[in-house]
Amino acid sequence: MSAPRPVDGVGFHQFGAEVVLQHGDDLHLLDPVAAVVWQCLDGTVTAAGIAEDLAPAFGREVGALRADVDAAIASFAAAGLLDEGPPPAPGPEFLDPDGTLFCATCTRAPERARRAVLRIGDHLVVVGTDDAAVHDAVTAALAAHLVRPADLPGGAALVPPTFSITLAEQTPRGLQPLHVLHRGAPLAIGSRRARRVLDGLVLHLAVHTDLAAAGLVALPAVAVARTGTAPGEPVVLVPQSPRAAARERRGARRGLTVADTPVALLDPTTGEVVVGAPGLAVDLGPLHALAAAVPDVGSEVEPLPWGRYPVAAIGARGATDRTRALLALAPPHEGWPDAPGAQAALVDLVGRVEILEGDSLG
Amino acid sequence: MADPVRALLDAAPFAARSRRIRLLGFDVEVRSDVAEVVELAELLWAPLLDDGPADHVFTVTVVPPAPRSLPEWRLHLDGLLVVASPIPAVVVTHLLWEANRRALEHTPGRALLHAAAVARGDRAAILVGPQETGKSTLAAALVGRYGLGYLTDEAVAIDPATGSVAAYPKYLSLGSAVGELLPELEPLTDPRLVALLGDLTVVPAGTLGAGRLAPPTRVGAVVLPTYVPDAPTEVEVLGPAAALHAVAQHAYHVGRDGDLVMDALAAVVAAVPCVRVRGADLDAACAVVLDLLGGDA
Repeated sequence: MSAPRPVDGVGFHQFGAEVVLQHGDDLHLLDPVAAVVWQCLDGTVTAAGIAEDLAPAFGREVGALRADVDAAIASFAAAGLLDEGPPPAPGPEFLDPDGTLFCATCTRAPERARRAVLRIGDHLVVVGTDDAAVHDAVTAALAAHLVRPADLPGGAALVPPTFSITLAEQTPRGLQPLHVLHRGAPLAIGSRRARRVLDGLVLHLAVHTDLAAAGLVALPAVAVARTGTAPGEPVVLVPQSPRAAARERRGARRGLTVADTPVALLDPTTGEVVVGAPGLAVDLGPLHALAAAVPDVGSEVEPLPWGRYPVAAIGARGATDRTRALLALAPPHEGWPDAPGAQAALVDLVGRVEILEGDSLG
Repeated sequence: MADPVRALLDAAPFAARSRRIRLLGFDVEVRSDVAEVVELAELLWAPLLDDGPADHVFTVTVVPPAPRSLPEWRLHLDGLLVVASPIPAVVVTHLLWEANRRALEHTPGRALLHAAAVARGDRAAILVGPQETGKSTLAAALVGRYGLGYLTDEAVAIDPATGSVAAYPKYLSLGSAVGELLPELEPLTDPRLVALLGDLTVVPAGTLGAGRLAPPTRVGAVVLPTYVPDAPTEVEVLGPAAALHAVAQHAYHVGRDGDLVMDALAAVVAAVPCVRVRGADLDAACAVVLDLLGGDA
């Protein structure tokens, strides 16, 4: 560096010969030589020039002082205190599979043989699989979101999969393994039907799109309805459950079905829940073609079909009044997309729909 | 908090509702289905209670259990979920932690330090350091054993205009051995309330005795204590630059309010003595602080 210049916004506090610098959250205590060097940096003077200027004051040879000046300047540069040209434009960050939105564990997902990196909203999302056919279907369906390897940030290959898909192979006898979608290490969806897992990936990705642009807010809830309910027919919102699979089985015995969405996407203007992927550019054809080629490993209740559904009621354990219903479905105060907007929509909703004490799936 | 949310919270019945709690710049009240939660909050923050309307509301609710399950306790702030757990102590200690965090975030115009503070007359000593270095224990000893005034054990808020430390007399949060170490103190022992705190040992500031709560006081000394088991007491006097560097490591919002925080701290370290105290002897450490404040050990 020929003539170093300090970055803007460095706080300077001098006490005699010593100086403390503050830059952002970082603090630096400078010895007398470094303190003087810092005050000489103006973008016009070189390290050699600084050593020549300071040598008489410190009573030292220029050559000997030059080493201290170089060391001080190197330490300033390492601390990000010198202006070294415009910083690279910030790029999207990888979606944290253990983020607060769905955090169930801090264990990371295992690596997979094939990876597709997608740009979804403000995030990069890694979808991993060991199955070439799944990889091909995912990349074809979500081609508009695919990030080319040349455009990936450094270290991208070390980021574990956010979502992982494993389609089960049929076994001749005994327990049949399920087709599964993992988010990080935890199971997101396990199903006897491949289509449900492949659609589930899309539904999970949709949560991370620009929901505001789609006119939606996310609530920590899930839509339930009578089996056979079609778009346009009423549903009930109930809180998310850490034991969703068991609740789904109980609901199925009562003739109820559940949306396969990780959160409820609510349109505040209509009071409808959207089951689907409104913010994604997705071609479901390749996914459904793959699903049709993979035999079901058993039967199970159909999830709520994609579409828009008016919310008729909120059901929650302990929801004895509208306030308790609000608290039961309240988004977290941190780590949730547009929590104030979601809360405002929820306040409006609890004022308009029926409140049922106890969730409808028992 | 949006008005419709407040209206819904006001419409619901709760078993108990606290008075307003003034946590530096953060006003809050606690409402709960469990009266003991509110009783605990009012006991721990007793010196900070008044009767005005609060800007914010913590709710601690209990949701009936599902079959073969436990009731779920939930903490909300202004109707947004903070934490949910079947373990009451998880939720209640989170309430205490979140309240303190909000106090630190909602106190503009002050230099905020993770530190304890005590006062003798018109001079305060701030005791700065990370967790587990003994600053709360040192503060407790200075108050309980040597009669100094209590300002805070957690968050020092310095007014840049006056150099004084705000009074934030929250409960003292101490190790479980405090009873043996400082028998002068009265940790909370009511089993109904202790059960809500898990492993946390607390001394309500209101039990420190009449006259022990100090008003805002100008900083007279800065002490960076470090408890080192079995070590002799060592005192190191810091120059102002080293002191500012050491103290500012424990300041909040340095990146956000750098000029305000650093200017306030620079003024403090330039004006008062700053020392590191290392060792195992609590009374010796107290003697150092008393000496700095001009008192007798």
